[in-house]
Amino acid sequence: MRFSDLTRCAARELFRRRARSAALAAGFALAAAGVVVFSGVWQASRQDSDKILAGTGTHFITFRPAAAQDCIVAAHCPPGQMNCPPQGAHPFWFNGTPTQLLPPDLVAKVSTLSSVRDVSPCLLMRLTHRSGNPYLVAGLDASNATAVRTTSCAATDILSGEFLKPGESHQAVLEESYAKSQNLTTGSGIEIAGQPFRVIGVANTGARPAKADVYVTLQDARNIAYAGMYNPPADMTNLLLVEAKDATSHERAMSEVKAALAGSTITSYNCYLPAAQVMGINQQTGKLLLAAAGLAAFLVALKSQWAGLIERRREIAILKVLGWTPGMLARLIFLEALLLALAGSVLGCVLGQAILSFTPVHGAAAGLSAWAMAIPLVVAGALLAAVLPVWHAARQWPANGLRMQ
Amino acid sequence: MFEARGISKSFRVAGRDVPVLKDLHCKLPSRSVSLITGRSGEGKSTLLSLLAGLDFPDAGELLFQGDVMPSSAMGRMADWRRNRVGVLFQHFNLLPSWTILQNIEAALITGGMGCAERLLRSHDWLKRVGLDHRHDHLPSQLSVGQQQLAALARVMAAEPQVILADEPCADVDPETGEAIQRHLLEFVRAGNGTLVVASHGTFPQELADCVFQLSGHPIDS
Repeated sequence: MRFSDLTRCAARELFRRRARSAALAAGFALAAAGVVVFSGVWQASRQDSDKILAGTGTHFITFRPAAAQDCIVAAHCPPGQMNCPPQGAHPFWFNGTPTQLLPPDLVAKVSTLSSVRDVSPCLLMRLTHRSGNPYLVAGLDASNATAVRTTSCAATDILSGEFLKPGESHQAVLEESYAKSQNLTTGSGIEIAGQPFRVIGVANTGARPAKADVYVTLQDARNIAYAGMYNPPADMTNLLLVEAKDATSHERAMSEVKAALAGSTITSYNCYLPAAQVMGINQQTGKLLLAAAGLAAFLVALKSQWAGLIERRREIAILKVLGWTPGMLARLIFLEALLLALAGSVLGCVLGQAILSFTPVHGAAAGLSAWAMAIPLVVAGALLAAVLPVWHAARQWPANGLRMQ
Repeated sequence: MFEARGISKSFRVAGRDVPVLKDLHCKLPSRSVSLITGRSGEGKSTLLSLLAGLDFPDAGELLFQGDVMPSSAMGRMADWRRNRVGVLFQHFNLLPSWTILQNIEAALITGGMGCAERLLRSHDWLKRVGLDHRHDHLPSQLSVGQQQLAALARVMAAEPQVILADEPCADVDPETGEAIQRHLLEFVRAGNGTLVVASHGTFPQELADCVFQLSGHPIDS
């Protein structure tokens, strides 16, 4: 049988049963419109949530733990004059753990990672007050507005006075609780490791991971650490404050930084997890809804085509009497489904595009990609829905069909 | 020729099997008119249906010109039917939503015949049965007799070797019945075709070369 004849028969059949064809095409159109609208709204929602999560940012701190008895400064002592601090007096600490100094080129290395938005060096030391009480001093890059702000102390945390100014020295910002315990206020003078500092501000940093009692500039902190060292290393750093690109790349950023610094440990608040999970849940829900819509469209198509087949059972039997093979009839039914699905899905895409232009969702728009998804999806669904009717039509002996009235 | 060897067929009605044909043996000669007679319910239409491959026997085998017919293979039977057999029903079985012309084309379209040739042959047969002026009418717009003539034209246009006719003249007026008989006999006498008619008396026995009574044995051959 010629394809042109088959197509003519299919088109004629669809035209003859206009009402049924129109209803089925409308069903396909609604399914396609649903896909286009859903895709547009979903994309807009995803872009928005990505933007929010990217803006929210995610951060972590990396460091390399050291054994408590290790003498960090031993390598920098004059030969034969090792004068390590006593056990427990190790100066570089984080989260109650002694840390090693990090390689000086690490900041530059980490800043090139695509998953990292910002990185800042930090020197966190545990010093001992004259009274014998230990306290934490953090040396921060005061010019950094991203990684430092989210992990340690920022101008927005200042309760009184002002934040550290880059380039200025011997100034300190105190954590509110420490200031109160030491009875210090803005303008007070303090001594850190024998060096005089002036308190320029008091801050409350909340629950930041690189929290300290006293915040000074990175250079001042390094100068404090250098004191007593025979051959101090350049750019001393024991913590890296890292801001990941966004919530979705946080995991990758952590593993890439960990790979860049062998033996390192990472501390993160995992605050990115709920956000990323919510986004994931939304995406899963979206996919589920899309699948449910697809299934509904498929069932409607199946029901319509099945009803059409029941209606045409006798006619199909007559065609078989005339020598139409089951294969020819299968091609005819599939072709009818294909023509209807194509017409319906194109119409549905136009309809979906029109609905999207009126939807109140900000930025909702569907491009050709939505059409490219909707049309094959609907056509595939229609053809799949035709499988059962075709199979049934092919299996029916003509005599059985002729007995139907 | 057709040969039935031990054919049995039953139908499941209300949960039980109702036998219609039981261990039937018969031979129907080629290039002749065979008439199958019998009372209602004795299986005339069922036998015709089995010979046409519209249904399959529960047991036994059917032969056509000495070859066993693949009765249980629906696709192969459709091919076999398309190339050799035309079936004429008592109730016409025209495609109700196709015009008369399209009904005739439906029988020719499967063979890959070109559109022009198809139309020529269809119109030719519509002219022969006097319905060319009604070619664009639906079956429901024709009288009962005209519908049977259209069904006859559909069978004839396909130029089969065998025509299996089930009560072809039962529902039509005598004049139309005679016209149908004339065309069918011409198919056998002039065209060397084989005609098998199932009838319980509406087709004259004297026109048949062989009469097969389903309840018993051949009464004339």
